[in-house]
Amino acid sequence: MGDHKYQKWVQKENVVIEGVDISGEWNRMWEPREITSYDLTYMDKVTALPGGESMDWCYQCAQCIPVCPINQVGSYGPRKIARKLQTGMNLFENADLWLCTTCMNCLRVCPKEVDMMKIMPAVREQAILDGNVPAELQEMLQNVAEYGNPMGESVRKRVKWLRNFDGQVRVLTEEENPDPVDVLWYVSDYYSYHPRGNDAARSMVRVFNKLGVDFGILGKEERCDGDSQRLVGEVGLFEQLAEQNDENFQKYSHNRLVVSDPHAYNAFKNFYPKVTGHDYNVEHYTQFLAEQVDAIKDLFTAEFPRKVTFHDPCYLGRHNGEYTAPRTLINAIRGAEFIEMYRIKEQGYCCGGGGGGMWLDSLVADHTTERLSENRVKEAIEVGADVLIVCCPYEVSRFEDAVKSTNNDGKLEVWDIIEIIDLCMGNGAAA
Amino acid sequence: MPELPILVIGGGPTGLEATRGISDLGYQVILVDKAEVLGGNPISGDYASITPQLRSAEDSMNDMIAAITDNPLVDQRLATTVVAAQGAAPALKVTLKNGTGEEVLDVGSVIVATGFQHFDPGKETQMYGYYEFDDVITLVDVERMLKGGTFIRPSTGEKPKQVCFIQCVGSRDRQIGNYWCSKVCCGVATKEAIEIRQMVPDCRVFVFYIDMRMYGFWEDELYWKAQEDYKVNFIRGIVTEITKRGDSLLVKGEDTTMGRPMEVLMDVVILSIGMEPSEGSKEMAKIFDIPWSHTVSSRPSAEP
Repeated sequence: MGDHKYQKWVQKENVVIEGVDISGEWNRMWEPREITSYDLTYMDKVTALPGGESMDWCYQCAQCIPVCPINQVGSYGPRKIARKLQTGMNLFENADLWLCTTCMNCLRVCPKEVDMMKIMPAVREQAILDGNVPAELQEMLQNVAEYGNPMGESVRKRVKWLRNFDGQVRVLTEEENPDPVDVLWYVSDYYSYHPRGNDAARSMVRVFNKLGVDFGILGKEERCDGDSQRLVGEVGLFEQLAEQNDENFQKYSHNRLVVSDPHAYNAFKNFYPKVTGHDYNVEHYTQFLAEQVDAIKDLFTAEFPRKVTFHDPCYLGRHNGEYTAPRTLINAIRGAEFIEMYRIKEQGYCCGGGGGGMWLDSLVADHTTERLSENRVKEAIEVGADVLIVCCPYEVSRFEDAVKSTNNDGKLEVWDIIEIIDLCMGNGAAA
Repeated sequence: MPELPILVIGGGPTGLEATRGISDLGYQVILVDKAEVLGGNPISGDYASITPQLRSAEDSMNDMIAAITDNPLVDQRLATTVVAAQGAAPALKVTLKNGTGEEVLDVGSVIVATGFQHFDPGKETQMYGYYEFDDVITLVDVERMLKGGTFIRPSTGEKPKQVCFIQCVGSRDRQIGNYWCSKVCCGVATKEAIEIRQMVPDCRVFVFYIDMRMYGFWEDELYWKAQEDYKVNFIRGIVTEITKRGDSLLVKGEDTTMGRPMEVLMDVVILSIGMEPSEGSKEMAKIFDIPWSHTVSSRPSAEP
């Protein structure tokens, strides 16, 4: 508040209106609308951070706003953050810091290359150091630090999904002097621990077995890929996880690294090399399988006579440019009618799980009208699909929850591509 | 090859460059300027530097002047005005006047390069208080200060902490009859913003604008450089009122991209005054019967 202002904001100590207690800071709506100072303290702090430099490059063209997924369900976007910083907002202690899902749609269209994918981790890192981290996120970070997975499950349980399962899986870390494998499959946290992820993991094994893929997994030695932790600002944790996983990648001889999770794909392809000095021959499983689509088709024994649509994961699509592989697989499914949604490929809508969003549900809910996943599920239903196909382990549970919370139970099912491929190869047990 | 010399009226950057070009082609030039020295506005206006390279205005103009000096093809007539003309190209009779009297010359053609004058900020409709408040100054006043190697708050002589530019003063304004964009003020203001940030690093600089008009590479050379490297703050929305509040100036406008009213204190307000045709240009238009009105719109209110 500038000293010159005759009108001061009012904050009443005790106010109850129609039974609602809006005491103290909750009644600051009496604050005058005038901007009375351009306090650049926090803008300076942001741009001084390595990675934060481009925050004040914004020249307010506003192209980021219509493509920002958060702005569809609230008021948000790089342009607005830049202006709020220019008018004195303390981003380090503001909810705006945690709403960004790093979906990269803004950078795709930004003429000035204001890069939220660098700004957000940089500012969040400082916020964490200052102790300003949302509790729900803090819990996840502690889990990853202690147990190597965001769920806080024990390391032993990482292979629990293999119990009572007749698929052929070589757990390399349990073999003595294991022979090299063609494919080292990075299973990922959600495939390993989440019940719906377990379904997909077992499907993956059956499909690999049918295709005769020579593969192995790291079992209990596998750790969280760390990409989302990097994006919420825990760079140290990310580096530690990178070193740990890399140790095993180097130890167990393989030709290629196939991952279930686009976030892991992004980490191994683009960010692990900077930490470990090693390059990885990494493929997302849709890429690996799309190469063998003819063999897959030959193995199909059943049809999937459903109206399907597909959600592009931000970290496979915009971040890494892969839009074709999943579609190659979907188009191979016999009997399915593939209907694209409106916001696809480069323009794909975000599920809300990236950049830490997966663990910020209550904070995001406080600042938006609906979850991004809910917005997306409605779109899938609107185009007439009854199956929403995904290929990111974050998404099955996110979208299934969204189907329920939007009262669309029974109207839309959420399937991982691998589950459909498995089903069409004759395994009726999937899903 | 014309037998008669070519008359260039005005010894500013345009007239100097025209003179150089014509003499390079081997023609004779008579260069007339009403001032006692060549150089035009950059010299008479005490410009510090030239946009966008930020090179010293004096050095730049001296180079241009040197390029036509001691050239047998160029006849410099300073402190001289054109008072009459007869005939048409390729044979005109032009009357020049200086302190010693009048002289009629035969010339083949005439280039009028009498240029602009700075808009008088007392004429603007918003009443920014240029003549009332010491700390409301113009782009030209800033040039003069920068040329002297300083940037201060005129009322106190101290270094300012917060200053702003207000764009489009005297330009793009139907009410005052200036229905044009002066084209250079966005660049000049941005250049000065950079220079102020260089000279007084603690001073925050804001530019209030309607739209930043950066022609060609000025976009990167000035605008982006000012924003990214010099942390100049560009805020869309023109200030409409300046009032005194204590020792400071209160600028009042709308921060349009925030959709909020804005009232902020400034130590110095710089009016980005535009260009108007100079008195000399008006005179020459009469003498040479050059069409003056500029029809830009069928709307009657756009008529001058």
